[in-house]
Amino acid sequence: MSRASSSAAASAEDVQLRRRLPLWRLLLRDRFALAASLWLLLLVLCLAFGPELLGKAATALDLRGRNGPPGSLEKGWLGVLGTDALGRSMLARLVVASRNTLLVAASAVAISLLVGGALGMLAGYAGGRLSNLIMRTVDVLQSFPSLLTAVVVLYVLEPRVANLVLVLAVTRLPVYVRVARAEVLEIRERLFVQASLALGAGRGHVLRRHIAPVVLPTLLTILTVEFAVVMLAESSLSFLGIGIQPPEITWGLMVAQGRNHLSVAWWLAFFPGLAIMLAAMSANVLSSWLRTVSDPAQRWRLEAPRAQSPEPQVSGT
Amino acid sequence: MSAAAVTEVDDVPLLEVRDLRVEFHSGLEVVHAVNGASFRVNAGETAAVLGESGCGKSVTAASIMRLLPQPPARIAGGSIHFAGDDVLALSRRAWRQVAGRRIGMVFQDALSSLNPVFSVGWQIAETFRVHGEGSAAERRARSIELLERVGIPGAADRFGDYPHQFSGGMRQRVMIAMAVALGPRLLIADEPTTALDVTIQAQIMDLLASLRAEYGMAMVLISHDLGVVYEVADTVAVMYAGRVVESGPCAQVLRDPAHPYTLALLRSVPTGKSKAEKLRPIVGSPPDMARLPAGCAFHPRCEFAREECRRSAPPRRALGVTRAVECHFPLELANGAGV
Repeated sequence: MSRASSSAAASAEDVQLRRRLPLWRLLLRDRFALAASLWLLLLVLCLAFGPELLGKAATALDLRGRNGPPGSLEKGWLGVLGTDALGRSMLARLVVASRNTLLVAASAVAISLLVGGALGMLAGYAGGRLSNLIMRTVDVLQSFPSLLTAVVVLYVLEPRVANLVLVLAVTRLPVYVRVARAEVLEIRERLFVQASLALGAGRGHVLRRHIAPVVLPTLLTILTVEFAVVMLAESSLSFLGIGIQPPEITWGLMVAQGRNHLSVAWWLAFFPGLAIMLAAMSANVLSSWLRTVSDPAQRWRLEAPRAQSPEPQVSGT
Repeated sequence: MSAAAVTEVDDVPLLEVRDLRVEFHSGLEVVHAVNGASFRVNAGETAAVLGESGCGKSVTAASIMRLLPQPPARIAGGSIHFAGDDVLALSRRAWRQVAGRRIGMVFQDALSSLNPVFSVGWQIAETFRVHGEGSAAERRARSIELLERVGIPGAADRFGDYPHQFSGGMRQRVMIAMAVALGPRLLIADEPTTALDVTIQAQIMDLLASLRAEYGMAMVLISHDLGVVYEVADTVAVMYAGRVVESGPCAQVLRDPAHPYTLALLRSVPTGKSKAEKLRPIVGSPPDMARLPAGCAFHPRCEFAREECRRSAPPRRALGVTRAVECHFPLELANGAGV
């Protein structure tokens, strides 16, 4: 009993000492999270500077070098990932497409998260008629196949980027609403919510300051999964011709176009597909790392010295 | 009683709960959690609400703090007055000025009463923030002061620690710090020591007593622990099946009970005088609050029950100025105290 409590005290002390480790040093300790954040950093650089630097290369036709296989430096370093059906550099196109792809997906999931999360939390906390109204609206949204909704809406409106983002955001809304509502239903019954009300906090304050921070990590985890889903949905829409319009390009569009040539030139669909997968996976890894870091009760897992067992009892004695 | 600043005239109590009735509607049943409970708490005194689990103690406390979820709960009747204000009739905005500022509350389970994702210091400062008190730096300074006052060693260093890094007793100290942050006149402590082990219980009760004296607070102590109640309370209200069956000065009621239920409660506590001592539990179990027995709710378990107890509910009888009992045949008071 006393030994257990003293070891617990010791580990609490360790945690207290290490808690002041800066975030970047924690990141350096986790190889996966580090790789993921480096990859995302690279993507952000591509997104910021790619189209200006490689815009010309991405549209330069070379009809004699069509469907050039990857892995050769014959056409300079731009040809290292091969060339597409019109002889354009795959690498340059991937870099240029990153801006559209990532911006569309990021803004769509961000809008879904904000609107869906807010509606869901409101539905969970307010209950009653408002909750019914929100949840039934979401049911209606969800009972439509989301692709069909998107097709109809984009066919009626013009297929502009803003509309595309809006449609993607709205069709993916139900996930956030439902999860946020379910979480709030549980959290609002917890004693700390009661305690906060007993301190004289208003309901809005409790929702914003006490409930939202507990719900947010879950929603952020969903966001990273949805990031990939939205990128793929955008590619389907682009493939159907109502998403991003050529000559603008996205990774999804590249996959869609590459599918026609799959038997002769696998790299046309493979590399953009790989880019989508890596981006989604990196977002996932990083979000799981962020969730651990931001959870005060979990953070020691990252702070514990790597050589030792991650069990706190072991590190304490 | 301490030298608390008793400014009010004696017949206007700080808190008066009168004939409170609370129902919970679940499915087809109506659970009568509180069936006309009445008690009063004067400024500066400690009033204990004593009773078994499920007798309506905590529901009463939650009603005073307006924490009952409505629905399923419904306050079916009665009134709660705090310092002259009708608590149940106050607007939300007006109530927010009372909760936290003039009435503080300490809950049973300190771990779940603290938000796991915020540091302890943040949560204490939250009390000031909610009521718009002071700048960020002032709030921090006052929070650290409070942490020191409730006996957390190294308060400034532990300000940024999270609830899971504290022991049970320390967490309860933090909760107490939050509850008394704004110097309330009334502290409601809902089984503040139930989740703690015995040595820590004593420390927490001592802390509550010293804070109460320091701030001149009144305290409503919800408890099922006779020992704790006997030590700290000035008055006691014994609850059974949602009614206050006996009330009066703590020492008188617990030494010389007038209600058979109070007597049975006292008898069920081991005295520790002899090894061969057998516990004398109260036979039977508390009634189903959805189907209360007719007449006196205690009659099925009462060793003195007679025909009349089965037929009619006993009226409230005053035994002297300060004591009251709800029983057809109250026990003889040994020394005639108060009668």
